[in-house]
Amino acid sequence: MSVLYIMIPVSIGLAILFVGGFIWASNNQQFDDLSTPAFRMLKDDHKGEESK
Amino acid sequence: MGSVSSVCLHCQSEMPENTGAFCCRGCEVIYSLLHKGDNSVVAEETERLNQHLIERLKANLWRAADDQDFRKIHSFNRTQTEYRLFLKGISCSLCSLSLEGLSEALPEVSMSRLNIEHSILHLQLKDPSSSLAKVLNLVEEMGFKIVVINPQENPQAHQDSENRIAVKRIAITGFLAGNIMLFSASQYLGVSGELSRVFDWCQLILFLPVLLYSGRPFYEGAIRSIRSRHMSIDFPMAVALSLGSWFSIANLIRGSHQIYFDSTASFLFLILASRYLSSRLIQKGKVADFELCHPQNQTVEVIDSDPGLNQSPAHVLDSTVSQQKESTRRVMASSLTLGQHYRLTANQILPCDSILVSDSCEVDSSQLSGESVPRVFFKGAELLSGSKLLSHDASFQVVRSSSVSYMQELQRKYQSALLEKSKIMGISDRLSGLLLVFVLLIAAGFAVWFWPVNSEQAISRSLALIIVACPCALALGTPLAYMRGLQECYRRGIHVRSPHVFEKLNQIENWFFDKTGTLTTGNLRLSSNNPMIDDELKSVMLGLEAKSNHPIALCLRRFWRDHLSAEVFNLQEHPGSGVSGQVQGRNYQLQNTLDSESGEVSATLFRDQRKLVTIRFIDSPRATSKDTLTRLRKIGKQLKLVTGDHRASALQMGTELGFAEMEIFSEMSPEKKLAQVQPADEQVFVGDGINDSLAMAGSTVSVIMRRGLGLQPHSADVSLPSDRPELLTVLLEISGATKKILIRNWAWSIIYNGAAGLGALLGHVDPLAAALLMPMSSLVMIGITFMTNMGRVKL
Repeated sequence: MSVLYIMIPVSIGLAILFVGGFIWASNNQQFDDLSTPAFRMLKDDHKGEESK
Repeated sequence: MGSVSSVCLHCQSEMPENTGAFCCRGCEVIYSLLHKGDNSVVAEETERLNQHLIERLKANLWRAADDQDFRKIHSFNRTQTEYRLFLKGISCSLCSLSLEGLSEALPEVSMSRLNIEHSILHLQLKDPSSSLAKVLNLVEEMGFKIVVINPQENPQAHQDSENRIAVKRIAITGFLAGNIMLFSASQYLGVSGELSRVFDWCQLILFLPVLLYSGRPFYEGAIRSIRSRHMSIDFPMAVALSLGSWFSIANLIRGSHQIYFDSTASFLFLILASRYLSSRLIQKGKVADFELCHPQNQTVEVIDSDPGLNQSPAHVLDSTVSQQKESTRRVMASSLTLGQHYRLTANQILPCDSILVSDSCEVDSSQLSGESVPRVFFKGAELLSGSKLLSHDASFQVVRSSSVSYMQELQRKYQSALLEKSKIMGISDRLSGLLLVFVLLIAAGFAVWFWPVNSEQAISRSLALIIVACPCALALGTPLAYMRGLQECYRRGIHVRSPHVFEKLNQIENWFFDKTGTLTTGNLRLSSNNPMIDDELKSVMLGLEAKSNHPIALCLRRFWRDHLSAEVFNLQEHPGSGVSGQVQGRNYQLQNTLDSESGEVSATLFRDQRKLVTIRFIDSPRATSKDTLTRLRKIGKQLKLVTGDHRASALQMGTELGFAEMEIFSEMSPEKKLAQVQPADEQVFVGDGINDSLAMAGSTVSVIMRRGLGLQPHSADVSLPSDRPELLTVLLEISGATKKILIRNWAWSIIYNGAAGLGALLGHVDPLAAALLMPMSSLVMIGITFMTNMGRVKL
């Protein structure tokens, strides 16, 4: 079971990496606007529309 | 290609009927910009539009935005290329995204990003010399109303950073709680011996940030509530959290396994998340209410009688020398200074208290005083800020700068009254305090009583009691219920700022209503006892009133919109008395009269000095006002009408709406309204304008009809769309249902936690049982909250 003494720090380290990633994203205002991107995706590309 | 009727040419979204080529003005404008000179079917259409656009650009109402000072104040970066605009009128979310096409359409714009949730457009100009005014003109042409956000006074920035902190806190707490549970679960499943000790310490390491970081909002809230001597839910939460944690830590150090890190952390996570969600719902309503009509936010024309005396030439944007050797320039109203002369056009709002320089003008001050009928002022009269100019252009001189003007004064009083008001306590705040004291007393009593029997058990059982019994109901049940109520309200367009409304609203008996703009539309309508008028006279009157902004003109144009208007020559508007002109060679005059005794408005038509006909007007009640009032009376509410209008018109409208004579209070100034409202112990005030602000601040619950000016709608407890007073009864029903959920949540948690607490005292609740019992209780509560059917609440 002594492998646990390595596994626990590794797993927590991994988790901290993910949390760090989340905090980084949040600081970069990735979660400030949750609704506009969903609409943006639906917007047509005007360049394509012009050609028809 | 002939059928362009059913989808919008620009955004391709479906349109209800054959309404034209575009679904909204925004699409039209962007399309015409993108297809300049394009030989398509709509070439004609775009040509017409371009013409309109060119005219708008020529008029350049936003000229002041290219002023150096303006740009320095409003830019978000040093090079003065970054700006943020708050836009009102974002209705079709998809179409408003065409705003992001600005960078393709205009060479001046290098980037434009829209945030639909906050209605804010982030704008980046190519270089500092690019014209901001041009972009603003264009955006306004697209049908949006604009406020250029000042970075120093940007409430959204603060909110954004608060939200970010909250999200981070939830994420970190979630991560910690999850990992703590990994260790505790393995212990419950049988890990023992040395490894179990290690796991205990691992839990502690993970728990310390929960205690010190995640719990911070509660500590801060507790300190605030001690300072203000005002009980809030945060206080018992902080006490339970810290007591439980330190006992657990002490147990861990002593070598006991009685530790509750897992349940405390996961519980904190749930509370933080539910609080965040309900605060987001409140914010959504606030964004929708962002105040736009503030008179500081417009441009006015300043008249410099002697250009030589003026400030630096850079400040002068567009100087034109007129015949009287006056030079005029457009500036933001907020930069007007004492003694300056300026000119307003019809429909603009006075930005500061001023003296009339022109001979006469007609002013609508319904927002300030509640009077439904416009008033005429003559040269030298002092007009208060917030009044709306109705007649033709007029010149004014500033007598009080905007910061000390009447409207600002009123707003300041209002703010300080609001501070007083925040001390009103909800039932849940009070109950939570009681419950905490109760549980702590029992725990302490038990510890003292059990100490001689078994000192260790005495401490650990009291601790189990505190952790299991205390915070759940207080901390989760209340925000969950609020969240549900807020959600239902938001869906129906009711924006609730302070959830204590849900607890209070149903039990308050005294309801006060403002008249003009709240129960009535503030627009005149034809009185029912008017004589028959033949079509010829109608068309003459329409012709005479074709261009006026006077309420009478608006009313006639609305009521007789099917009639043609006659061609009028030599049309003249005489403020205060009416209009005159010639039709088919004969002189006509339409004279407005206001009977100061009865407060009645009428218009008399003269032909060659001979009286032809008189028509009477009355303010019209909103379509659902009467129904709503009847329903409120039926459930036992005492309704009173408090208005600034004349006695006679107040009586007439009041009785029409079903008020008894003794329930109608007229000719009330803002201060008098407050005095009228205050004697009642608890009261609801429903109003619309700044003339109601003091009374609203002094009431237990304030409801505002969103249309107001100057008064920020989100400083009221509730805001309703102005044309739908019937939502008041809906709000009542929702708050009734919310209160029911609240009580049910409380009942459940008191019974459940009472039982669990008893179990704890009898020694049956160990950490494993607590870890199971607590989330169970929370889950059941969430279930109760969201399964309760609010569908019965009719729209």
